[in-house]
Amino acid sequence: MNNTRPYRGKILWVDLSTGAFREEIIPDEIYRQYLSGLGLATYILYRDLPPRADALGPENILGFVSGMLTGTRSLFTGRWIAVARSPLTGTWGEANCGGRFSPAIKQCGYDGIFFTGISPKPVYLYVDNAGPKLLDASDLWGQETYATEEALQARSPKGQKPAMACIGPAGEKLSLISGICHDLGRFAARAGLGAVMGSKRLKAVVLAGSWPIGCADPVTMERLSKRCASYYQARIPMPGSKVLPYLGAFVNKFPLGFPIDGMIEVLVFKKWGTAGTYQMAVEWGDAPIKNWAGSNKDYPIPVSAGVDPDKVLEKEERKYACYACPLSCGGICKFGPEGREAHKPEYETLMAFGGMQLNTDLETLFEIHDRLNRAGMDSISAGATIAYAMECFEKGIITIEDTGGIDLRWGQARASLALLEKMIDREGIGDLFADGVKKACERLGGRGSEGAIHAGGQEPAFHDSRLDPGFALHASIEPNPGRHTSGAQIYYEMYRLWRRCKSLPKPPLLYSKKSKYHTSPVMAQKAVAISCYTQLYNAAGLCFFGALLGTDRLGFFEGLNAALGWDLEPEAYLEIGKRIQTLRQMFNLRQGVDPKSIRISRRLLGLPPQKEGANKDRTIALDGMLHDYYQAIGWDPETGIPLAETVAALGLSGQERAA
Amino acid sequence: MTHSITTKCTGCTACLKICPVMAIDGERKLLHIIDPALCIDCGACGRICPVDAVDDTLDQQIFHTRRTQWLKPVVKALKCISCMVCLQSCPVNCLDWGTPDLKSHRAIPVLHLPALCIACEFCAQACPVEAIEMLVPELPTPNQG
Repeated sequence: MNNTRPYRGKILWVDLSTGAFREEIIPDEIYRQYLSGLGLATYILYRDLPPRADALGPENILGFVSGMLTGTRSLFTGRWIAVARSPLTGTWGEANCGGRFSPAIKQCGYDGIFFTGISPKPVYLYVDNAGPKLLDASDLWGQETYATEEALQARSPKGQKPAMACIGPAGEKLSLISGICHDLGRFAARAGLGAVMGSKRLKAVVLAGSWPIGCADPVTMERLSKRCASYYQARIPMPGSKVLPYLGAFVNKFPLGFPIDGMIEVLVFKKWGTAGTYQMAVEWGDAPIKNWAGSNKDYPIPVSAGVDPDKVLEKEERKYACYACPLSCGGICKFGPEGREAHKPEYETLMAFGGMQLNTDLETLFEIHDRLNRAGMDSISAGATIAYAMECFEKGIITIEDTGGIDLRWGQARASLALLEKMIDREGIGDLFADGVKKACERLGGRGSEGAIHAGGQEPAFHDSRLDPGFALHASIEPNPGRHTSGAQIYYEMYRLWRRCKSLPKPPLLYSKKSKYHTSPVMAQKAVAISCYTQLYNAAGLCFFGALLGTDRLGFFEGLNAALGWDLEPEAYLEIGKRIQTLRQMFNLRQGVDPKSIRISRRLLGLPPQKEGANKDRTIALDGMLHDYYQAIGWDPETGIPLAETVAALGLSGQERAA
Repeated sequence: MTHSITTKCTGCTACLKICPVMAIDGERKLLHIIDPALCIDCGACGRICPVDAVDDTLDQQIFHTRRTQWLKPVVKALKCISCMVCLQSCPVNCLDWGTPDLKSHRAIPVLHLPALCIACEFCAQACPVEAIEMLVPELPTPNQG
């Protein structure tokens, strides 16, 4: 093994139909163009996935990739990404997760593992230093995720602690909102990739390699990591969570906008995890209430206090950090009368089943969270789908007879759990809702479509574009639509890219809040920079929360040069991000997806505008933003198709599939 | 070039037994060999070899050390950021989380199974913040031998 190089230079192909393995050597030139991680995955899938491939058919390729910086002594770089054509959206599909699976891929000697075909019987892949094996998983089929991981751990050699990714019953039953579970409750949840794994009858991937990972300049990397860690080691006393909603309300009421610094995230996440933002987000206007139709007036502070972050923290037994993470936003909690252990629920899960449905019963929210994790279902999509079901119930589109006796009124947490059980089992009305809001709406004959909130088929996470129109823009223009981590205006402020890229504008100290809702060339430039940076850090395996600290504090570009022994300017790295972004768009076009068909639901654009609350009277002129974004990145402003000159400049011409 | 076994090998099988990735093959009293495709260069074979028959990656001879004198990782609590990198890099899984601090809920890694440690230093080399020091244990316990 080359211990001065952070990448392995090869990937593993597994044909599940035949059980055959193949190693492919990846030329250095490909890493130069795409890095590893998301970049490498985009290159492979674009090259090898046939046009208009059936997402649940044997031709779809399911990949697991590590990040370029993973294992190089860098911090925040333990993210792995699952990729495939998404059965939920039909577009490029990717889902990102932490834990320790990313270094485990590299420790097995690969930068990525790619699956094709469909196995005749349930199997799992086991890889150690001796190589890969496909083993029978018939006895595991039907098992929940925790039971699967525990069974696989039990059959591992004594003393070995392999990293695992597996699906639960939701993925096996091809729920289009199922995800891939890792480390007893971390999830690559989005884009329905659990269903792709289920369609291939691949129950789990178990990685037990132990090769060390290289780095060109470990001394510089260590210096950068120590500097980055110092932001997290500072002992800053924090108040109780009671002040947080008032902080959110203050920012909302303040007449002007101002850049938000990532240190806020450090302080809040370090103490509470993402749950810390729960009440603050409601009052700020960031959180959707009552399936995006309500506001903080429907879920006031005394009510949202049912999910007070301090109450969540009371259940925490110990912190959980992903590989190479100095933040530890995760935690292991105990809940219920038996004191069951579960990962601390994230903000998204709590809001999906809390504010979105007007629930406040924290104990039941923990149960729902645990049930989702065991079944292997995406909490964002599942919560949004049940919120849609509640709206349909309120409007009389579905009745208590249809639901099999479940009283789906708002604020009935036990009813949420009951419907979730049916969705997981695909039983009765649960089958109708088991594939997300878009499918559910189609099955209801399009009734209540104004409440079926999605972008390109995927339910957006719970950050309101009426507060930050960047969420609507990026949910609509990204090749994997409906994702909240893809981009937002606030991310530009927190990424602090202007500190390293002098061509990018520094945000003013104060600005008019109204300016956020109208497009401008500068805004488009910022949005493109966010897109390119997002693809770049996903190629590096960087965590989104690391990115929020700011690229200068993180030492991200310097870290890439230190790991790789290169001497590239930040702008050149962003060009790699642009290449990945453009190739993902070309992937969608190859798969027959019209970029203009991907639009976030009108309700999230303030159409009609809200009559009260934190986002009162706010509407977004999305079309102009899309036009300007396409133009700024070098895609056709009308169609969203990358222009020939852009494709040529990025070196993407002639990438057609050899076959 | 990975570690390799020289003709001084007496076939005592000590290296074969300690290799964490089963990269060494050989019959008792016969010359052993290291499979370069499997070797992770941890160096344990060289430290354990009683006749100094192992060369490292630079073809330098490794000298035998009594196992009680092998360096062991000591985690410096004030520097450690609890990032799990050392745990994941350990080829023998001898590190594990210690007891979480009651106030911060944070745990730091400890040498949970010192008898398994092979002094490869992978944990110290991988640590992003230099929080692991490799030291000779002051008071070796009987099961470390």
